[in-house]
Amino acid sequence: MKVTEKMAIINKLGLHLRAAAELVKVANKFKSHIMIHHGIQNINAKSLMGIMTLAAAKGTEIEFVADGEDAKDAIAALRQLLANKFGEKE
Amino acid sequence: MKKISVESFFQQAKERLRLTPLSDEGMANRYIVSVDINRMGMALTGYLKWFAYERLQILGKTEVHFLQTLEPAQRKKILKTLLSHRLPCIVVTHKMKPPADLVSEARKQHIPLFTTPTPTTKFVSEISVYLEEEFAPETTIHGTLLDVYGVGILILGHSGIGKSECALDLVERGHRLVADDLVYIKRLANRILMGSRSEIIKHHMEIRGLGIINIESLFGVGAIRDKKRIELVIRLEEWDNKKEYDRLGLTPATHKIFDTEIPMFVIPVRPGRNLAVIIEVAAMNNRLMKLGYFTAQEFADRVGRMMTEEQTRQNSLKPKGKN
Repeated sequence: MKVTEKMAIINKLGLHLRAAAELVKVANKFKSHIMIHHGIQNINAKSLMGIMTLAAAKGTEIEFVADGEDAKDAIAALRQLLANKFGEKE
Repeated sequence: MKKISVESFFQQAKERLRLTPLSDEGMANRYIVSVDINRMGMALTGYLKWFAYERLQILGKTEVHFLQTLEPAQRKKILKTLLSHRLPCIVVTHKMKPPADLVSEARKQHIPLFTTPTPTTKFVSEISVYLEEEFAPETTIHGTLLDVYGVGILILGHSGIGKSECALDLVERGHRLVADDLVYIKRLANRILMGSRSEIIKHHMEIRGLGIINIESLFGVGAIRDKKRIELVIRLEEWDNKKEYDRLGLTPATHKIFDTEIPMFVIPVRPGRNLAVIIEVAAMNNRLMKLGYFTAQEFADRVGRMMTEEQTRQNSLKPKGKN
């Protein structure tokens, strides 16, 4: 199963190192192959360094593509993580 | 389609192409949209049917001399018509001094105008190489790129299979890291695939359990490279007992990036298998092949030759006439 969803980064600091680590942690809980598309970049959501290259600031929209049996759950978990500002206050 | 603003073209290429601006009006909103260039030539005579105005325009020695032979009124009229097209910019080559009305018309119509001391033919070849690189199709791939004995090896495989650990092992053995985790790939002329790293990551690596390390500061400048042509792909896979792995190496598989096929080896991973050594050997074997020595084929031929020899020997031992 393939699920695609565009999500916005809404926390103040954007996708900084700690936030990226949280994202990788969540992505790694799922069996699905998860990619992030942004511009020409296709990045594996399970790879920390790849995500750092996005340098996605607050307000950036990135597209997640999950492919696998638990794709739906993976996208839902990522959506929640981004909406919760990666557990940060602002 | 990709477009480059004349401003960023000028900032990036001014030293390499030795450009000096004569009119820099309108640089920010003029765009180069193609790798092709146009020598103004015939257009200056007023023949505009095939005037490729959307390309970067070049005025060489001939064109400038021709403009000088024209009556001032006629020259003005032609320049006005030509420059009213949506040109990206004009480069006057060969140290030529362009007529004053060209400079003033360019300023008036906001068309960037540059000069270069480089002779026309040389300039055309230099700028073509530059534009080819700029307009080369580009992509990113999840993997690790290293220079092993001069062979550019791209390691692919699922997250967590051990690409970074393997790369670290190779760097420790004196090979060079180009990019870890995310490799930028450009397809240059002749289908060459050039891999490079991200400006943000540089030569940092993430090793599970250790965190982020910097290869350049740990191992020195000798352990890194900025870019390297990709010549071989190694795909790491979890060992699967049911899968048939290549036992001979007679027909290497390939991996396709853009439309270039690169030889690929699929290497099964299992604890205790020293991947760095296997990759080193793959690199050396690749070099042997380039030198014209195809190990697997030579071995097959040798076995074949020995079998024929053995057959002949046995035949000669048989008593004659009793065949």
